[in-house]
Amino acid sequence: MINATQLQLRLIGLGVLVLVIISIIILVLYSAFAPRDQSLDSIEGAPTPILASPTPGDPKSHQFTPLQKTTIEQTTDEQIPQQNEVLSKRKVGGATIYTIRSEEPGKTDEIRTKDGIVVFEKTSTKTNAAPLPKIATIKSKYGNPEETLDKVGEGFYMSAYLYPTKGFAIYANKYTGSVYVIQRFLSMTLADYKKQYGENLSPAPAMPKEFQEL
Amino acid sequence: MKDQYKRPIQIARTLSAIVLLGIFILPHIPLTHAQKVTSNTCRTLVGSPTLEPGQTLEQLNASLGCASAGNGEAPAGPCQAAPPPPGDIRAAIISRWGITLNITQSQLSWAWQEFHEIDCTGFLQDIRGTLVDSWENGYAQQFSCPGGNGEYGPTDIMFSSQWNGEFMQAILVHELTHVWQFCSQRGEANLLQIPSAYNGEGGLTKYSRRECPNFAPGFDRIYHEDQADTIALYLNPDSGELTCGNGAPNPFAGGRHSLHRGVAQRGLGR
Repeated sequence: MINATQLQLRLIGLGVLVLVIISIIILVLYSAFAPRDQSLDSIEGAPTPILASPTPGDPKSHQFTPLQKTTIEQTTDEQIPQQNEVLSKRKVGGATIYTIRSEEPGKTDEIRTKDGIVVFEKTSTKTNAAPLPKIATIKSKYGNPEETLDKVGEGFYMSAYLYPTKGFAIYANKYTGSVYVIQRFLSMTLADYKKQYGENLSPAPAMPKEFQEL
Repeated sequence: MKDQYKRPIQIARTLSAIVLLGIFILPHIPLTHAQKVTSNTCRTLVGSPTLEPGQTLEQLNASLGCASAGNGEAPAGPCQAAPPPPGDIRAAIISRWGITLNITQSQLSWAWQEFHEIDCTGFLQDIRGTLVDSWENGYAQQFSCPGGNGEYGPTDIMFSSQWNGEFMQAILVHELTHVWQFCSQRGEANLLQIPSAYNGEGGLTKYSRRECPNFAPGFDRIYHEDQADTIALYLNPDSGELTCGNGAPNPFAGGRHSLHRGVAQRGLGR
């Protein structure tokens, strides 16, 4: 036999329990029905690329992606094998060219040094672990490129956005706006960039002929 | 009733009313588009539907209010079967999906069926504006993205007029997947998931494993081709392998290649 006070306490306890259950249901419903951008499903939870405040013309300050491995004019020859998986190393003229493992499957990255100091780094950004940097973000921070070249490199969709006096060049998909390759180097003129690193500006090859019975 | 019992009983009644109200309101909360589709989706050969004993796939779809192919067959793709084609199929496709197919009349009929069967994935909506022209060559080739300008002007894909049937449907989706991977955010993000599936299971097809001597893609393109075959063969489960693997069964048959299947399902939302 329970008295009135016990009954009152039990009923209040029951009420609190019901309120907790209702709160849980509301939370579950909210998380289940809240509108989502499906295009971001595959990259949910991935870190956002870092875009540090730029110092125009100073290559040391450019931070476009966490995948960058060196600081131009600071990282030394000795540090490269300590911080990277070097696949090959060769001397060309006065420069040392390191081919290093890339985070992008099937690709390699590259670091070049001169007089023991890094003067160039090429970084591929296409990994499945991060949202790709966007050319629009870079343009909003650094202004328009000194020159834009369409249909270069790996395919018709690639454009080169050249900022050589600021010490970098961006290779991005013109149609999605996603950055695929970042090059950072010592500041130089547009003409010097094309002369030194112009191999990346070669016209894109035709896409393959598919399902051709030979 | 004693006064001391009235207040707690009132509280209990109020809370019960809230709970009952919630039970009746919940089913009427509007769902997002994707959830609506999922909750009443037409069952297909994709994903091995659960049928009651003696129930056919078409009967299940009819009970879900799904469109009928009119020929007694359930759709092969993940969405609905196509209604009878209109008189001007080309114009109807442009009107509904914004994709221009300048291909033969018979190919348009196959495309009409295919597009309905994959409509609910959002794939076609991602590549709105695509222009496909045809040629007599026995192959297909991509030249641009929607809004771009390639060797054939605004044409994005040149497609062989020699193909028909299920084979043509799968190749059309394969080629449109190239547009998806190069020209849309969702396709590009989906492409980035292919390498892990490739590393885990190898290439999905002989083509993407570079086992086709006459038309093996270069190393740079194996992931692109693997994704194109993944999407094409996932959306066309009745189709066997294409190219040099033509005749080999669909690589997803029997629950094989779960990693590639996962990439397709995540990319297409089903």
